Amino acid sequence: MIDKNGKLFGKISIVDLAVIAAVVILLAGIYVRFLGGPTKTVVQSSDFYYTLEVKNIRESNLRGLEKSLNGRFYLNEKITSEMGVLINIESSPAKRFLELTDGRTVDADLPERFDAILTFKLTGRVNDRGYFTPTLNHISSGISYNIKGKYSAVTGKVLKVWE
Amino acid sequence: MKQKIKALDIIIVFAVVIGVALIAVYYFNKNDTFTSGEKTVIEFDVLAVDLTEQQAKSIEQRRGESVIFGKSNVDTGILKNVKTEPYLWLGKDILEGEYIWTPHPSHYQVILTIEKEVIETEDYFKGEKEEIRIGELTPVKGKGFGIADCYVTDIREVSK
Repeated sequence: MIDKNGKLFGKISIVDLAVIAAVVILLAGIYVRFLGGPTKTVVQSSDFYYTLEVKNIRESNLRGLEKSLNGRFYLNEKITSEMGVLINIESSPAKRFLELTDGRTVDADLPERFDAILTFKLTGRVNDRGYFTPTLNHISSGISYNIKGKYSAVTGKVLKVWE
Repeated sequence: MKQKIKALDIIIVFAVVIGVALIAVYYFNKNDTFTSGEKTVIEFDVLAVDLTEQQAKSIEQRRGESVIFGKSNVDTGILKNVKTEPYLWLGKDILEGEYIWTPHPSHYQVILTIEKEVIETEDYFKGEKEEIRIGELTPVKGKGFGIADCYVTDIREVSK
């Protein structure tokens, strides 16, 4: 099969064959990774909504969020991880529990600080397992994210997700 | 012995070049909004808290000078203003059931106002490396002072 010159059936060098195989595998990998290939899980791109609760922010940060209404937000780590468009803000004075001398607990206002519930609309991936951003970050109640818009960066916890 | 370049060699070279080019295009094309921004000048406030009197004075002495800000240690801006006030910390009135901002007896907080020319896009204000936004941890250092634990509290556009 391999002759004395190292050629398969006397025609093609075994080394050339190995290089061709490596290049084919490399190109196939690039195609699957970057240009799309057969996927095991069927996902659909669709719009969904989620609310994010942020707590104890300054008024300037709240104003920054208001300036960012209808703007895009991203994960704090990289600009390509989109977290949706901010479509609504509900703010209220920030509160924190305080124990009194008589042992009672009251929900006291934190002066000059605010809590806010931010509503986002996101075109992401939806399947039976859940809701995902375009870069496959899981959007699920209870998960905290550091997110950033044009004017503000906040940390919040997802409260609710729906279509 | 001179070897002729075979057609197979050329095919392999092209395939590798195309593969590397695709990887490079994907990797370097992430920040596609950068070139579509416009230059503008902003002022932003950075709040540093719980400082001693000496630390606060060290900062005040550098008013008007260049400072470095951000985590990458590359971006510089002009320290336009320094406002020193008593450090406010959250106290509790456990009789009335209230939280109160209480001045610390001996420590200070300083608001540094920094002016910087940045690129403005739909998604950020950005200097050479740093994106500037309210709530972002933004260390600042200048001649004779350095503060790590401080945050941007406001941004204002000065001019375009």
